[in-house]
Amino acid sequence: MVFDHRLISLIIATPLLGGLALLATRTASGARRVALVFTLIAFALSLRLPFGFNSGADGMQFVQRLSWIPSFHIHYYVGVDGLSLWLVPLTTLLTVIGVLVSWKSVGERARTFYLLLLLLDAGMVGVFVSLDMFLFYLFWEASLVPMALLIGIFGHERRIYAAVKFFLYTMAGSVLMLAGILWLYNLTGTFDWVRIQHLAASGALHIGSATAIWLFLAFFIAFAIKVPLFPFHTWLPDAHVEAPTAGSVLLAGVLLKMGPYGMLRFCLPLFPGAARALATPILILGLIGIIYGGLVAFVQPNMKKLVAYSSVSHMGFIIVGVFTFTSIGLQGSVYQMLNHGVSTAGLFILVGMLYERRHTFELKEYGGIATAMPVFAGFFVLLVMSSAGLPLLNGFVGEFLISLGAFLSRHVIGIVAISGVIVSAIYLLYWTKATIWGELQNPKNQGLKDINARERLVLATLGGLALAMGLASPLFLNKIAPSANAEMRPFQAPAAFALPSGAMPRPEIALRQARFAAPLMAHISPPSLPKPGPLHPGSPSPAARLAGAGGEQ
Amino acid sequence: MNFVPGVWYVRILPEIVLTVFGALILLVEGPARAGNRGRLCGALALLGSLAAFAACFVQARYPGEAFSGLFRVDRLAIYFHFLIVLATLVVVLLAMDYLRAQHYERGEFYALVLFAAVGMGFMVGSVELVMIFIGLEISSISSYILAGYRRNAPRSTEAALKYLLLGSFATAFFLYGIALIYGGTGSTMIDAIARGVAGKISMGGLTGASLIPAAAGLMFVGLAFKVSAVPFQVWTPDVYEGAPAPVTGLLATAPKAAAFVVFLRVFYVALNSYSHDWFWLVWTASLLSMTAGNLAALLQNNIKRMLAYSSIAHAGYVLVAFAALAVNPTVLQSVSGPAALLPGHGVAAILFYLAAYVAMNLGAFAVIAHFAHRNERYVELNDYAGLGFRFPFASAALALFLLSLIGVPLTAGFFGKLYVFRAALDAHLVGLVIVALLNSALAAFYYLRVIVYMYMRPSGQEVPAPAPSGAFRLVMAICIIAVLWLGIFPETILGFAHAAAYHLR
Repeated sequence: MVFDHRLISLIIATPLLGGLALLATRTASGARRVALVFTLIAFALSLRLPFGFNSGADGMQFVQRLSWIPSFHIHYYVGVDGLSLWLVPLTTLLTVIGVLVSWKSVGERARTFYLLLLLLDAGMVGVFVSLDMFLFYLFWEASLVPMALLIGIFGHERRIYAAVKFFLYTMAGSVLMLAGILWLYNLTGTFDWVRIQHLAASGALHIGSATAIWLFLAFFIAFAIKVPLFPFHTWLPDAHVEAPTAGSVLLAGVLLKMGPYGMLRFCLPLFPGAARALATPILILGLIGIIYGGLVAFVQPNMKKLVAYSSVSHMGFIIVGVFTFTSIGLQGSVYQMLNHGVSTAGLFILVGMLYERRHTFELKEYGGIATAMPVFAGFFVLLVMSSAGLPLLNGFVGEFLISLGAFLSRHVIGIVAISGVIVSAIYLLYWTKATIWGELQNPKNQGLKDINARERLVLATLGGLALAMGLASPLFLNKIAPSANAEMRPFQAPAAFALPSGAMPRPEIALRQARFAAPLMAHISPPSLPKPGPLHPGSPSPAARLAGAGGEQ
Repeated sequence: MNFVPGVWYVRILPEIVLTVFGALILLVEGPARAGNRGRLCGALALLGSLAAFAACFVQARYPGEAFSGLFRVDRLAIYFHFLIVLATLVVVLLAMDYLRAQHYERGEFYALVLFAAVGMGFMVGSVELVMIFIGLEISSISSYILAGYRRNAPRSTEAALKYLLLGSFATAFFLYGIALIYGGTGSTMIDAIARGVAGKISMGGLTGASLIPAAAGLMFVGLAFKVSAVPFQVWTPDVYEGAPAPVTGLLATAPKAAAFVVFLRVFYVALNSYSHDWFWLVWTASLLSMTAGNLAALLQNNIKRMLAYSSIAHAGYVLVAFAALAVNPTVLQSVSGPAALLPGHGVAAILFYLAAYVAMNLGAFAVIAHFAHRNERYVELNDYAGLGFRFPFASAALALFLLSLIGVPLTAGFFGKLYVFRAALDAHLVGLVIVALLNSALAAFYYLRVIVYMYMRPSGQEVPAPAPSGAFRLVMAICIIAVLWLGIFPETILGFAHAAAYHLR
């Protein structure tokens, strides 16, 4: 289309314009209508990205590049590739949903609320599309401030504590990242990610292995805090419990994705040697996160904390997938980022709907809700199953691919990761049992109203997406795969890189990978796949699709 | 030679305009009717600062020297004339509201503000030490009176007295330094001193060169007092707290910028070949100012005091760039890689930082003056609880200025810090930069506290605030545009700052 080279800028500008339009509104209902219209426009625009995306290419698409601050070689430079492509519509969709779920719960100060939501939208999209590292940092910070304010102004009782904690944790990380970006700028003289990545890929980026490790850590810690990876996770339960529902939705759905996305974008391609050298401790932290998050979620008396800790567990999966250094695991991670966005956002919305009715997150207050709210219960089970990774639903595909990658790299990683799936099934089913099933005993729950049309629309969108992403995963994966393969290129040719001794991958892994993954890869992402047609309603099972994805056309 | 070319007067046109209007205010005030005296004088002051702003454009058209080389219109002078006159304009606008609210409407307030600006104009334009000193004195004496302008408030009187006593000491140090320089080099002209100390002139038995480090030390004391760098900062919190809020806004910004220009001319230009001597002075003062300023600011509950300590910390950040200037250029040339900078970039960093600093601090003090109410009753942190939703416009503006003071991207403060730290990194002052970064993180805490109070705490007492007047809106517009413009399009100002730096020496 003619405006394709400005499409991304339009997606970023729409919510900002919406923010300006909000200033002209006078009432709460006016504010939420304006917010809805502009977030919907942004979502509609972002849908153009996957349709116009060339699945065969691994480079950046929809690129726009303008000079901004010449004396520092800073450009306004945006574009998407397979890693970021789907994250943009996910962001804009979840913002629309964020507006919808706040429709009734935010009355006072609605203008401020929606203004922050729109700013957050622009900031989050910006993070995923920035190709200039300076611009990336700007958007990174720009997404931090509105979220902290959303928690601090519109949160629950301990909101100030949670907001400050969230802000300080993330700020500490981003200062480190800024230091890393400036250091890299001093080494290369540019903020241009594409150029630095080319330098790194061609071996022209001369960084000593010690420097590379420091640089890697500067970026990695910032991203690990955002993920959050195991020892850095303590801000997350507080932030989630105190945040308003829309805040939790965007925090879990999008903001956490900025962590693994940053690792994929910066840590791996720019410092492959350091990534390999540090992979083992990172994998161990990721695995600890999977198990620990799951176990802690199991014992939470507070539903929102339960979902928050389940995020810690699921995000651990994503990290493990990234650091297996297999294309298949990496695709699984990218897919799991989308899945987690859909499922966990859904879980937080479910919790939020219960809270709107009962004003408590305490698990013991509920039980037998299905009797009072049958439609709600249906969606509840669907989304919980999607989060637990039930086959036919989205979570399964991501977890399956990640586990595959984990087994390819080391069996023990795969075994621990799989046991994490079991843990997650345990606490999610336990939660469902305690909330939905059984006798309705608490008299306060007798007269609960089932969900209305707006709430049904929200849950049906997410539930439908969970189903579609479970059934038609190749539609998504074939756009992710070329970039994932490109991302793994430095890790498949170890001889070209000077690694610290002891960090070499064991040759048998590479062999096994080649033997096992190559034919599978060929199925998932045929090198010259034509544009996929529309999704057929009667799709075969995901396993069949995985095996014969190419045959769809 | 009795012939004085007319262009010399054009080159000091802003100063002339400001003086004329200041004198006019004093003359008009007497005969004017008591009822509209304040408004009339305010209007005159506004007109005067606007005329001076226009005069800056005229002045900028005629670069060159005036009065036999005492005064020089170079890019540095032009840059800071604009900055000072704009700051004066903002302060006058602020004072119009503030004085009415305090029932202190008097003409001499405006006249003193204009005279202070005249002094600062001479500080930034003069290239001769005695002229610089006269400029310093004009601005200082005006500010001593302005600090004590709230006659009925004991704190204000205390502030004025403290400022006068300590200030006199400091200027005496500066003057003594000038005397030693003259003794050592036989000149008070900046360029001549630079040539003299470079050639290590000796005079008679006593080598002139041995006087220079002592002179540098003394002048450093005088200027460090003006910019409130540790350990010469003790006056700052008391004076900032006691002085009327618009005056605090003035004291915290324009005179400091002017003093930093003098710093540049004296240390970077005149005493450059002694940079290894003053490097450690600057380095230590910078380290101490940042750390002490931020630590003390953490403990404050009075917003004016908090910003006073924050301004000490900001002086420390600027001194980081000065320390970078002192690093020997031969070291700098050995830096390889595309990012290596000329030493002039350190000067540009200072210039940019000062512009950013003036814009964001003036804005912050403007909001504080707006909320202060009669007798400055509401300047405690608690008073700001819940203001965010009762006064959305002023609170949002204050939040923006505080974010800029933190150094959040897309605001002026961010690029200010970025340029300063980069200049220091290029000079290999890694340790100092790390301390500065840690300090920036520390500072975020107390600035954010104000935002947390404004937006996240329920309002305790109903702080009455006037509806924003036209003058206040204009002030906010100027400061907000400046903060965002410098934050989003830094290149425009930076280009000029680079040119100013390039032609400085």
